[in-house]
Amino acid sequence: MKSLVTVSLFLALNSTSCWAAQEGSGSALSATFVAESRNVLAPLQFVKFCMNYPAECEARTGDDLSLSRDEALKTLEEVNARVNQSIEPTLKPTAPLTAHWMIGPAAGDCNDYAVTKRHELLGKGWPSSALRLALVFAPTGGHLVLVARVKDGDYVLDNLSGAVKPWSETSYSWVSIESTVNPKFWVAVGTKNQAATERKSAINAASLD
Amino acid sequence: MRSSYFILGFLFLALPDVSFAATAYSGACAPASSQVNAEKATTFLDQPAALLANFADGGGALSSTIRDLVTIRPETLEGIPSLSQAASGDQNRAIGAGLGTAASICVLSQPATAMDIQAAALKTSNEELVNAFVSITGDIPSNAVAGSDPTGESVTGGGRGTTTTPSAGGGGTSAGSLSFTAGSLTVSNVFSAVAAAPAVVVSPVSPTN
Repeated sequence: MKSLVTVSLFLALNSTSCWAAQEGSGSALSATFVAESRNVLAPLQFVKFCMNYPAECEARTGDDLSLSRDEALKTLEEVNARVNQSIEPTLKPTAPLTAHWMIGPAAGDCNDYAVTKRHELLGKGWPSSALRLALVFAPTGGHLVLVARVKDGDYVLDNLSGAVKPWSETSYSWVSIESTVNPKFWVAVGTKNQAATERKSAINAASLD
Repeated sequence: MRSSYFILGFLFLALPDVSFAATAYSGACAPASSQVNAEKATTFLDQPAALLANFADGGGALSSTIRDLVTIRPETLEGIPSLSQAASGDQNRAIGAGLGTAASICVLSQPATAMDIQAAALKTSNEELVNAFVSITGDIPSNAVAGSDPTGESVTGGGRGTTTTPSAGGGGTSAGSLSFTAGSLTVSNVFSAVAAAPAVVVSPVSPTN
């Protein structure tokens, strides 16, 4: 049975076509894919981050990983927990000229946690298209998280949460996310209903084949 | 003979598109204009600060000039840091508003150029310019901090004794967050002046969607 859910990380362009194979796998968590909408401006601090760390913003195909869904989630949970523990939570300035995102600082805010997790997973061979920074509204205001794509959907690595959850199971208002096509570009996030509709469409289309 | 005149007339009318394809910067996000041609771009790049003489008080006219320069001739972004250095506070606010408008236009069809515009604004290191820029683009600052909640639920504030509080000085999400001094350029007159200026034509084609 486990062989049925054995999957590899994949590029986003093939995402919807993979849904049918995952159906009926009996997984505990049910995930969906983030629906990408129109182009939007990247957060200004992301642009500064790319100026300071240009290699982090280049597209990477990643290694030929053959991780099962469970193995992939285990890696995400390990990285999420470790980075959450390694950075002391600290409020930093948000003024455009003084704010800056850092990889692996001793203390930092959500931006530092997210880019550090992304950096570590890139180092483990994950493709950049599967590791996307996303801007959301938390109850306290703007918040940056990392959205990781595995075979059955998009999961959130969050410094406000010890658990890696499907993106659709968070309570956030989703604003924008890095494009799967080019990590330098950002797109608006479609509604969760839109993602669910696309999922159903993909399943229906697959069942007609 | 009459048909020859017709053909010549047709070629003349078609000329702007031909010149756009032949001479415009590849990342341009608006078609070429006789008001912002290659000669004017070169003149600006030779001596960026000279532009300021025509707009002593900054204002919407300077904003729309900057908007047109960078959307039609993105190579003029090279001159923005020099322009900002020579500009007064009012002029820098107008330049920031123009760049913000340009970035908002360009992201629809040329996200790479939009990112170049964002980088150009940051490179000026001018607070007035960058604050005006983010007031137009609606940049959302992010800085959530908290500890990992073992229950997996998102937490607001708290977490290793850290409290999440709004940070002052962040780029606002509304135009009202930009503070202007009395007698200086106001957000409303930038908007109205930019809106009143000849509209640039934006391609609806998005390379990422």
